[in-house]
Amino acid sequence: MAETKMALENLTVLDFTWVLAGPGAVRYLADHGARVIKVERKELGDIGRHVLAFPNDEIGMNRSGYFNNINRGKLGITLNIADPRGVTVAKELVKISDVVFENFTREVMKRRGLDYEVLKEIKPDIIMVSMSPAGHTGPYRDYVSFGPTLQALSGITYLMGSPDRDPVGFGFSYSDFTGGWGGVLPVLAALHHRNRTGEGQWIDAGQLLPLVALMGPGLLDYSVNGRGATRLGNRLPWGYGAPHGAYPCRGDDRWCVISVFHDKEWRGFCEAIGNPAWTKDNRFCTATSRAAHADELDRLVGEWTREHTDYEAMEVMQKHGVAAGVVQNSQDLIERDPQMRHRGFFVYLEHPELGTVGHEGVTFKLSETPGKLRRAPLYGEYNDYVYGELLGMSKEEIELYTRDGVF
Amino acid sequence: MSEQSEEKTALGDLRVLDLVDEKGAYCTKILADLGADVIKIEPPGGDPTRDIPPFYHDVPHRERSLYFWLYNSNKRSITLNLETTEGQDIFKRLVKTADILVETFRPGYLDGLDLGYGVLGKINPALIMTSITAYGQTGPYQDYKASDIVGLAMGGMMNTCGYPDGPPVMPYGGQGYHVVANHAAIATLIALFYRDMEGRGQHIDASMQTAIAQSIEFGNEFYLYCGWVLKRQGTRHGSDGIGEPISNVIPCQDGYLCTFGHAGPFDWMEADGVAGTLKEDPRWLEDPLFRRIPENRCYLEERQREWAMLHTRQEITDGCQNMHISWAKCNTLEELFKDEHLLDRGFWVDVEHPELGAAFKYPGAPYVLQKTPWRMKRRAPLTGEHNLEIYEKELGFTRGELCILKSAGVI
Repeated sequence: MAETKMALENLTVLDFTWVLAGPGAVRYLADHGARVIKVERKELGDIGRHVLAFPNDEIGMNRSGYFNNINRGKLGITLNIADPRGVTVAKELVKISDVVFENFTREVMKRRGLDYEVLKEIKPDIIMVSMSPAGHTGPYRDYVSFGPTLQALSGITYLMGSPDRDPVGFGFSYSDFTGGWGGVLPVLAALHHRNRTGEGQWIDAGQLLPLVALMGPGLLDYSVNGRGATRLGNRLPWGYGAPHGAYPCRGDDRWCVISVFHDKEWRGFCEAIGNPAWTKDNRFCTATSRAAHADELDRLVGEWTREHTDYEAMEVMQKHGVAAGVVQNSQDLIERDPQMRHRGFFVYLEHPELGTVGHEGVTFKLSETPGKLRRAPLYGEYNDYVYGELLGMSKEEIELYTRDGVF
Repeated sequence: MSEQSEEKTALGDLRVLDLVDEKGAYCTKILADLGADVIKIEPPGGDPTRDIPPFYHDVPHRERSLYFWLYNSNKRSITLNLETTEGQDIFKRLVKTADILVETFRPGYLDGLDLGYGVLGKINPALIMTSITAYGQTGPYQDYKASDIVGLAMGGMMNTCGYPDGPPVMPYGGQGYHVVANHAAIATLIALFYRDMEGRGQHIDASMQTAIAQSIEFGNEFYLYCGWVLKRQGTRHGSDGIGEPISNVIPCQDGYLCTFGHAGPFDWMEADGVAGTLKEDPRWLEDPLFRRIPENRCYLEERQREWAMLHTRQEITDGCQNMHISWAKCNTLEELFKDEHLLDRGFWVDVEHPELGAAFKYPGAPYVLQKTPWRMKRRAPLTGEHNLEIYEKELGFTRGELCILKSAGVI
């Protein structure tokens, strides 16, 4: 039986990225069959290998869920690019690659002699994307930052939370994802351009700007109407929804979300909760009155939701045409959610040290080339394959370089 | 096919047909911004997203929705009623010469009109059809209604946002829709690469729920590997295990500061007389496990808060970054327009609105491609603004026919 084709099986990626933004971006390419040569430094490898989660608290370079989930399907090699011989080998790898990804701070690749000006002499049609925190130019070009810091700079942290408390922001690095998309999208576009014209290019894909670009219509509300933005909890910053928010349900810290927009949906909502008298009250029977009494509305909705479990609330709302859901955690997604199961989203693969481990799967389904997960590399696992088979180095050379700390 | 001849763009050879609502608006915008000719196909009265606030000067008007302006710059617009026979014929003619179709209808709707991938893919085997829904084309939730907040909740992202003693908090800005829109664009361009190699298109089924579920960092990994259920922890980053357990958003003299990735500028704090005993024990600076002990965490956070109130955000950000400490100010939305870095990068672009005799600042390039740059070509289209260009010039309808089509409710 013929193997299903992979969309990117003709693509080779040389990947110097580490932690999350870069590796997360490259993940999409690996899932669709790109040959990703993931360069990790000696000793520590990708920092992601040292990040939770470790089963049974047993730490190990190959045991991190953080690393294994994000770096699935990549050919991990170790290479010391602080050593001139390592740089020479890196250049050989560039010769067989279509795209180079890196997310170091600005000067690193240049210091190593591996910046775009050098690489394009080696392979004129190379596409290189640099995913530093804030881009290679501008006052923040040398900023040290992580997700939370970029989120703060982007303006989004300030706008998350309730009006009567300090901002809370995300509880994780959302900007690593938006920055990741901001790296892989221009690369894919550049690949199409190259496929047509043969021309490669350099892409300055700092992680900050894609998130600023996703701040939404509030940006135009300021530049056009002069209106600033404030924290609104779970209310819509523009547009109208009442009720709209998260409501407490039966059980320990369980919540549903309900969003009612159109008048028709309000009628459905009233049916769903059994048409109690308060829904006919002056304060709630029209769209404008509901907006004016949103706090009281939320309180009354909460009284109803507290009598139900989150899933019950969702089901009865959906039956009456109201967009509602459950604030699901990962246990819900992995064990309870029938739609996630239907999509086959979580994929379980064999791992030499861990046995069977779960991964987030391919998000979207391509009908002809559905993509496929392969497990993450062990530290240095593909050295022999990449250096020996792909670059044609002899066993002796590889051993020498390994002894000398180049590999 | 069409060519944008003015400057070189990465996707300038592509024609995209846009049949999207909020779930896909940013997806087709990504393609348009990189040069694709995106034609938004609107129902004869105009797309429903033209009713979404905010509005220019707060006056509801179909051509003045700032929501619509933001997501539809660089696109053209035609009106077409897909539920009419002739409308379907016209659509198929457009599909014949299109490269990509992005749609967000409920599963089965286009099939019901005989305009599903099974039909369109035969008309144009090179067509890439990207279908975006909240849950996917099939499955127990395929017909469930969704919104941005519902997607964020059901996909697992809202679970990690908010204070432990408060409700889960919705990310600001419509991020649920943004997540699936970005994923759909990635999927489309992956399919495009395959088409560049093999000549064939395909159908893409993009789900908002799975896109979000893949964009939550620790949550799934903690559960899959350790059986832990990650819950919201306020400003603290989702993990105690990546070095710095202390991450806060704390007030300073003129706003808020994000402290992350570092215990703080102890010398500076000492010079200000608020370092307490922090400099007496090297573990404060060097040992995350020591900092994580609850009384220690408390003590350190108190010193940080006390110190931050003595300085402005800019002072702190400049000073800390100069010392390679990753603390940074929380910008407000308004401040983004004056932010020196964004200005230096030319991030804000002026977009002309000739009908209003004005130009406004829009967000510009998220990334810089050296040879085939992102560019802002035009404001969002008026309803059916390009009907003549497409129907008359391209498809050869006479003006008489266009009048018939209009009054028959086809366009």
